[in-house]
Amino acid sequence: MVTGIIVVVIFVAVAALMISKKLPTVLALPLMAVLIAVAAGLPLKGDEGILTYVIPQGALKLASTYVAILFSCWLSRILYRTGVSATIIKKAAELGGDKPLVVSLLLCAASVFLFTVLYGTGAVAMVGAIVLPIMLSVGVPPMVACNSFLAAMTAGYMLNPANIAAVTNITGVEQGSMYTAAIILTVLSCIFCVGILVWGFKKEGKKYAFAAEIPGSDGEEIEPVKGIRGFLACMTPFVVVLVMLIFNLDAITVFLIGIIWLMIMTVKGSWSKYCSMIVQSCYEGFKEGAPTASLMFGIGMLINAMTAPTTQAAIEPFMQAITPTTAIGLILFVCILSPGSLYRGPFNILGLGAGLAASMMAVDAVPILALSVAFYATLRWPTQSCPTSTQVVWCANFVGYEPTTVAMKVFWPNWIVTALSVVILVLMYM
Amino acid sequence: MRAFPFPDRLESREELKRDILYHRIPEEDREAICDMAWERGRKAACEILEQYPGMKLPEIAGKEGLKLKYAEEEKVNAALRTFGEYSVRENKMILYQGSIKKWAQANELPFEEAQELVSAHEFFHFLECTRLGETSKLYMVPTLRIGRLTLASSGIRALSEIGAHGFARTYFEKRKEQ
Repeated sequence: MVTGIIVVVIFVAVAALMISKKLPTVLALPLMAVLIAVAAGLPLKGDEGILTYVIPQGALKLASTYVAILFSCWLSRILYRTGVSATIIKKAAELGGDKPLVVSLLLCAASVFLFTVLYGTGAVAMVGAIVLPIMLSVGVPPMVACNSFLAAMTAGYMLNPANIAAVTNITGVEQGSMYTAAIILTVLSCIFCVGILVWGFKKEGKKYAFAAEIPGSDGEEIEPVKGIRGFLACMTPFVVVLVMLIFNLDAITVFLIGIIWLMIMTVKGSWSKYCSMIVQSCYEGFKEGAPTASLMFGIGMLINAMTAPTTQAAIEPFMQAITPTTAIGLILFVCILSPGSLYRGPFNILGLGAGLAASMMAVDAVPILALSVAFYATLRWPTQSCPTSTQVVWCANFVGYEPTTVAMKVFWPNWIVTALSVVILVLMYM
Repeated sequence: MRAFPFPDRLESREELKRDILYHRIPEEDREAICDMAWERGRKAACEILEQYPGMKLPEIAGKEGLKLKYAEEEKVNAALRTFGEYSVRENKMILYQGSIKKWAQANELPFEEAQELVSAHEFFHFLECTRLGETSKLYMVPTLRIGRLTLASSGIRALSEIGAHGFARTYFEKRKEQ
């Protein structure tokens, strides 16, 4: 019991250091892994040694997840450089014409579609730099534009093979068993996005503005894709998700299929120039995926520290005392504590929550699948509006607001949507 | 379009190039629809000045029941700098004085005059919503077609802005004459 309490103290202390920006997450996670390992009495060397198991094997534990993320970022870059992302967004905006709400809804639909395969802050900036100015220019209030775009991005992310792989690799559940939960979370996020837009338009109404573009904000002009091949290239996100759902393949494989599909549909002109663009996209994409990949090293170490038999034996009494055993208990536990998913806190499975999830699973009080989907449901919230998330920071800065202001604007609706999704998913999976 | 635009008839055509539907407008129509929108703004300005001779725009707005709000801030984000806004729902015009100050400097105009010009621009949108009808709807382009069948069409939002530029510019010139 005492060890369990010490682990909680370490959790709280490291979380506090992270929230107060005294320690970046990428350093906090490995530090916490080592501190917990020491507190639990793990040896330095041996089968569950800090230097032989927690650190080196932990860094590799989620290798398939971060490689999938890197591949996804590579695909994102190719979609951008071939003009496919821009074509999808601009076609959606054209379809909406001069009706701001319709334009916004279509732009958000295009963003959902794109983010089923795009990943990383680089991708958010690439798409956002096209979507947000269009929304602002048709009179959508900046806050509404920012939050609806982030909600649309999150809806796509929930179905993104890289995200599903992250959760399944951490929890160890079968990838295919998460698809229904992923679809439900995508649908709920879409409804949330539409809600933000409709509410925003109802509150603010139609607006005209005398405004001028900031010089240099229009970005580089990329030629759109055309014809049948262009149309098929625009279908890349659809192809990737369909391949994942039908053939139940690993995320790395589906992204690679997506890259090959996109190459076939966009290759033109000089072959060597085209290959050079693909290679360049790979390097740029990997650079954009690096922040998430480096988090995965720490998450893997934390999981290993928490799930080592010695740690489990030490914290089991404490974990048994706090882990709910019924569906209602799990729902209340997750719903009430879900704001803890912000700031990569203890309910964020791609943060400190990886350790909590691993420990709760080890106790085996509730089905692992139910716990996995509950944690996936709580991941939706920080993805959309965690003030420390770089994608939220980028979008907020773009529309001229503080990230905290943007996040707080949808704090209560986010809590409600999270609670609703937890209720639905836990009842379905338990 | 410049960062601090105060376009004349020819420069205002640049506004059309920024419209998302620009590429769907046949080339031979582009100039004509810009002129049509500009002319609408010009005509509206002449009528308003005739209706309210010697009055400044804030007074005219008051007479027309349009609310006016002065905000000290410079409204700017990564994409746009906003000088003025007209909210249809609130029937209110907001003038961002921080942005207007810079607009005045760039166009070498006194601040008071610049503020009146920005309000003239927004006043045209008010007129569109209350008596003229939307200028953007003067020219429609198909946005969704199957073969020859048009399933959806849309107006051109930029025309509304060109009309507002026409109104503001004419207002500026006529007031000088008065």
